[in-house]
Amino acid sequence: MIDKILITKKLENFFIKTNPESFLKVFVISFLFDKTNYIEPIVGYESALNMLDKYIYNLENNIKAFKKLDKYHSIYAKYDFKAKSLKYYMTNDYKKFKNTSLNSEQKKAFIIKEFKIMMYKEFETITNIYTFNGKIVSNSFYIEDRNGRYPDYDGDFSNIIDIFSDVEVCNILKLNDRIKTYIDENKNYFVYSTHISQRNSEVINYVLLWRNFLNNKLYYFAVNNPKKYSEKFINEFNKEYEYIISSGKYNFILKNKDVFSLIENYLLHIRNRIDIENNIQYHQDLSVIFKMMNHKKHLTKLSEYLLHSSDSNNKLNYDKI
Amino acid sequence: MEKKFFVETEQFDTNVANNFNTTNPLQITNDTLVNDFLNKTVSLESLIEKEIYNNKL
Repeated sequence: MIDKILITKKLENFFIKTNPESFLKVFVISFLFDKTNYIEPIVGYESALNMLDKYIYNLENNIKAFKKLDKYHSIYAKYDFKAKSLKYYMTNDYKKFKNTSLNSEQKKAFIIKEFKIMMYKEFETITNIYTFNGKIVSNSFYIEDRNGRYPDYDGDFSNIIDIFSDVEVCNILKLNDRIKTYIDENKNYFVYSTHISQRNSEVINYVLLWRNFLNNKLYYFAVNNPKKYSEKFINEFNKEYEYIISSGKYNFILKNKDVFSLIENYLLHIRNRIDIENNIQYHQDLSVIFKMMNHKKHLTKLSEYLLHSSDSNNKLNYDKI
Repeated sequence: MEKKFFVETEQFDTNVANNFNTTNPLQITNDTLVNDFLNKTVSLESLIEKEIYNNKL
C-alpha cells in the first residue's frame, strides 16, 4: 500500500509553490491516497508508484493556485486551464437539489459528499493533463492521433474525459446511488446516475458500463502512457466489437467507422445537448450498442445502466436486441 | 504476452521523498491539520463540514 506520509513528502514542492490552505492540502493528499490505492491492485505496486509520480508532476505543472470564489449560489469546483487555477466555492446549497426531497441532515451529508466528488473529479482531470512547453500533449488516454482525436482542453475529447473522470471518482469512492434522471420533458424516459453530476448525469452510467467492456489494466496504462498505449487501447476494443457496425443489424442514427468513435459520438451528443430533439433516440441507440456488446460479455445487471421507460407498458425499441 | 505490454509506465522524478527518510510530516508541511489527518484524528469529510457549516457559509 502506498501510504499517506510518502504521498505528503512527495507533495512538498507542490505545497510550497501553491501555498494552499490546510484543508486543501488534506484534499490533495486524500485524493492521491484513494486513487493510488484503488489502482494498485489493478496495475501493481511499482506501476502505481510511477503513476503517482506523474500525477504529482502534472499537479505541479497544471496548478499555480487554488482560488476561492468570492460568492456563488452553490457548491462549486472547476479547473481553469488558462489561469492554471482550481476555483471552488463552499456553501450549504447545491443548485441540483431543487428537484429532490431531503431533510436537513440528509442534505448536509449530500452536500459534503457531492463537494468531495466535485473536487476529486477536478483532481482526476488535472492529474491526467500532460503539457510540454505550455501545450497539452495528452489528456487522459487522448493524444493527437490519425483518427482526428486531440487532447485540447474544453474540446470534444476533453468533454469525454470529463465523463471518464466522473466515473473514475465513482469507482474510487465506491458510489452506488441510483438517482433517477429523466431525459425528456414529459418524463417518459430515464436513466440512473450514481451521483448528481453537474454535466454528466445522463451519460455517467453508460461510461461506468463501458469501463466493464474496456481492458481495465490497459486503460490505466493508456492514461499514464498514451503515446505507447492509447492506440492499442482503442484498437483492441474496436477489434473485439467491430461486429456491432459490420453486422448491419441495427440502423444507428449517428454514423462512425468504428464502435469506439460511435460511442464517443453518442456521449457527446447527449452530454452537450447537440440536436436535442433526437435525445431519446441517442439513448436508445447507445443502449443497443451495449446490449450487442453484452452478447460476448454476459453482464447480468446490464439493464440497470441503460435507458428505462417510465411506463412499463411501453417497450423500448432496443428490447429485442 | 500481457506482461510484455504492461511494464512501461512513464517515469517522472518527484522522488524528493528519498531526502526525508527521518522527517515527520509535521516538519515537511509545518501544518498541524495535515498532521492530524495523517494521524487519523480528523477526516476529510469533517473538514469539509467544518468549512461549510461551522463557518456559517
